[in-house]
Amino acid sequence: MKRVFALALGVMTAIGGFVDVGNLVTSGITGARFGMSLTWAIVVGTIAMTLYGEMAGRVAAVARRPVFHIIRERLGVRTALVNLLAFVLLSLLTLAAELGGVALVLELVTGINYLVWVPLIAAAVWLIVWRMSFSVMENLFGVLGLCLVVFVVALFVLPTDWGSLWHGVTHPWVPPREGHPMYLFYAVSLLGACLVPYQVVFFSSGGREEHWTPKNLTEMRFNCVVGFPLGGLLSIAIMAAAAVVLQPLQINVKHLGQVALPVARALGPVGLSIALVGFAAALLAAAAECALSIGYSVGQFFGWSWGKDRRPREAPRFHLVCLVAVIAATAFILTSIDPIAVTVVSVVLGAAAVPLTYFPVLVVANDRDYMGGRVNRRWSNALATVFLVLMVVTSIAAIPLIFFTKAGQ
Amino acid sequence: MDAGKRFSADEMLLDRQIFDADDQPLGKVDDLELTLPDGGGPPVLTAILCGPTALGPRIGGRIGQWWAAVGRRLRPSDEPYPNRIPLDQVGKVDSTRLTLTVSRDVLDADRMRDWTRDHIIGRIPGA
Amino acid sequence: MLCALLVSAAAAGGCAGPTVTDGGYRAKTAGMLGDISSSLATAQLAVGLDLKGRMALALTDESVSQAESDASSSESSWETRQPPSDAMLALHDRISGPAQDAVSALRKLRIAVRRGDPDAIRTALDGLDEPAAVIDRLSRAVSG
Repeated sequence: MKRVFALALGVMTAIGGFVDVGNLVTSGITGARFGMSLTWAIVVGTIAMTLYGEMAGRVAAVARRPVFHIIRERLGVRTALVNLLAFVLLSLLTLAAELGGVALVLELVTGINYLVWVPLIAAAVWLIVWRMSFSVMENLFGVLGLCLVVFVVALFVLPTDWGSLWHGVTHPWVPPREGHPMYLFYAVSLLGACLVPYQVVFFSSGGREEHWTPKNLTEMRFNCVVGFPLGGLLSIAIMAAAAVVLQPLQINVKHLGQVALPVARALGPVGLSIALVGFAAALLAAAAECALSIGYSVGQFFGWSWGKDRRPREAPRFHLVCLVAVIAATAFILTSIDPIAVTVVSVVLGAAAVPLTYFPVLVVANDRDYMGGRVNRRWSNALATVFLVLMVVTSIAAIPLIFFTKAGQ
Repeated sequence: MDAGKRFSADEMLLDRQIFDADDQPLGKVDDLELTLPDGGGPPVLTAILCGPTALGPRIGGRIGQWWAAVGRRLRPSDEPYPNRIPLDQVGKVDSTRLTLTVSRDVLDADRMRDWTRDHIIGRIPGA
Repeated sequence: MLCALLVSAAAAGGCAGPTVTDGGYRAKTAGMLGDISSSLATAQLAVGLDLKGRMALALTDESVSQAESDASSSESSWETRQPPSDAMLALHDRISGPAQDAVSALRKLRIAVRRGDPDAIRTALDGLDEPAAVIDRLSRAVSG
């Protein structure tokens, strides 16, 4: 029984870690604008995340190496430094988006301007990084993040035309009122939201925090194979709810509140409140994970002691990096730049940076010096290579698409 | 270290994680010290170098110079030579890590950590 | 650095710039009408749900104020553009009035929602129907 409970917790953690502000915003926008025609992007992104998440987890358990150890060992110091800088800048942007997102949710709850909430949320995120134990953080927010299941329930209560939703899924064509660049831009944003680089850094570093060994492989795989796809399913449910309620009204999603309206229509005040709790928990957890990932990556690159299972004075530079990251992201969001716009740009830039983090994972997962007999199977290499090619193509297309579509406006 | 086993020091050692005798991370193998023997012959590996003053030159450019300068600031004297860990303090080396035979506290090799702890992190309640 | 540049570039994308061709002006106009119609629909949906007791917390308030400010900023940034030809000037004159009417109908609704008087809210909500129909018609004419 205890074991079942532990497995369930792990799965919830994976779901909570998967859904963040990027998924909420991009699923809401695309559901309202493109119906279900971009579902394939979430499916592809989720499969890729599951595959690479499993690899990163396996490398963490077998070779006892988190991602940025590998990157420096395999790519050499200069390339790894470029990689680190790109990762840190991108994650700062993501962190800013998550902080702004939690603040926007609190504005929806209280009616008080989100900028008032930003410093308080930043303080809360830092306290989570500073004091909360790793497992409490993961489990608490994982369970609260599950509130997002209301979107699935809402779909069953709404007068959902399942046939037409399914038709959208299986006919991924560009809707008549939209252009191809816009469609591709949002496809890239959905892929980017599923594959945010901090997730794989966090997952593998978390594995080291929890002292995974090859004995944990089954559990880790179960979390990946069940948790990430369930997270993907939640993203699809959010998209579908927007497609059912917002698309017929031709609503263009620009705010988090609009993403929640379908739940209000289906389930009333209680459902709506649950959805907002789910938003806040998922985003707060993502903010903490993002801040930690910045500390993890820098600590691992330089070989410092890092991690939440050490007291702050045992890992002072790790904690300093996390603290500076939270302050920098807070300052950025306090310039009153629109957090939703920051989110969209951050997921697309994330898509551009994905190969930098994922490629070294694939290389090491095939290296017998590190992995012994637990290298990748042939089929998973074949699949991983296909996804890598796709990620590279996406990454090349991402930045021109940002300019061409003015970030999806 | 394993004598007689041939390997390329570059491949085997550079950028590997260093752990001390208590299994605490100390840093990375940021550079290697090679000495030409008096009697001639090929250079011999004599020490492992770590810390910003060793890493800075390997990064190169402005960033490298700046990083090395940060490291020098934390040194007791203006000694530009990086922290060295002589080979006799190096215990086990394998393809994944390098373990020392001494504790990191004895080595005084990581002033940056000490400085950060004493001046910033140690002053925050709950550290 | 790169990120900051890109974010500011993206933010700048939303601001007014010179529109030289008729086609460009038409596209901007269609975009503005789309924003207004989306704001009207959001406000109608949110307030409609509120009147049926299906909303909670500050969501109605927030949805309506955001709808109003989106519509108003989209409309005023469109107004700052110089129509590139006489034909486009005529288009501007045909659309400017209804667009402003829609924005002020949203403003009335926002004020009614803030006051919390159900009758005033119902009246203001009904007041959105006509602008919504007009904007919808214009929108189809412009993109048609």
